[in-house]
Amino acid sequence: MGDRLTPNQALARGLAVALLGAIAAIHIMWIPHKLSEAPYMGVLFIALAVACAAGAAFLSLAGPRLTPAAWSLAAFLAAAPLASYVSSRLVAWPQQREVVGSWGSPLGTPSVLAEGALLVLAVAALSGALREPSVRQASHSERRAA
Amino acid sequence: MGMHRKLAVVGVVFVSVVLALALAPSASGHEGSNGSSERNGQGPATNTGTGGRQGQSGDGHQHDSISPTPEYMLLPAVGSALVITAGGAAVLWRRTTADGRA
Repeated sequence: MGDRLTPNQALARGLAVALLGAIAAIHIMWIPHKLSEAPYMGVLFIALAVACAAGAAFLSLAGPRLTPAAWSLAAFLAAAPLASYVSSRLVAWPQQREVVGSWGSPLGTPSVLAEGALLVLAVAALSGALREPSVRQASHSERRAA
Repeated sequence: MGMHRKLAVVGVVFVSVVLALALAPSASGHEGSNGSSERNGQGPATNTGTGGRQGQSGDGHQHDSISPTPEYMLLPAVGSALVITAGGAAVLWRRTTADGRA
């Protein structure tokens, strides 16, 4: 886990960590309301906040071998709440009828922005788009040689 | 300014805007449900035709504008964001090469 990172890698991971922090913060603010309104949602929000903190630590510390797993976890932590948000606005979840069609809630919009940005970043990292040009060229040459 | 720094600034600004959007309602003392709700209820339907289908009585579709953030949650929320971001940034800073080579 002590491997050195290029500036590109460090920047991408730094942004992802900040976005995970933002997602955790936004969901922490919802916890009291959700625990009183629909306790299972409150528990899910607590789990998401904890998972975001763990994901940020994993992404910061992961070495080359674990990097794809760390970015996959980041993508999941972005996609899961995003999918939940969209589905809960389209279909009534238990004890959540009142949020159906409520697309402009004060914390929903920032949350969607953060999750969307993190998902794009994670997909770009997993697809290799964020690698240094020299590294990309080297791996391309290796593939051609093989 | 190098490309990395520009991207870092853009990223920091983006995350700050997102957090500001999230915190603004509670920071301005806007707490709890603001009570504005929109009802699209349709009242009891009447159907007087013979052989017609029984009309459905509308139960109303309510859209509540929810602002659920109590002020006492601001500190844990902002604190956790700062701890996560600062901790990650410190680790990444130590792991980053100065010359751009892995």
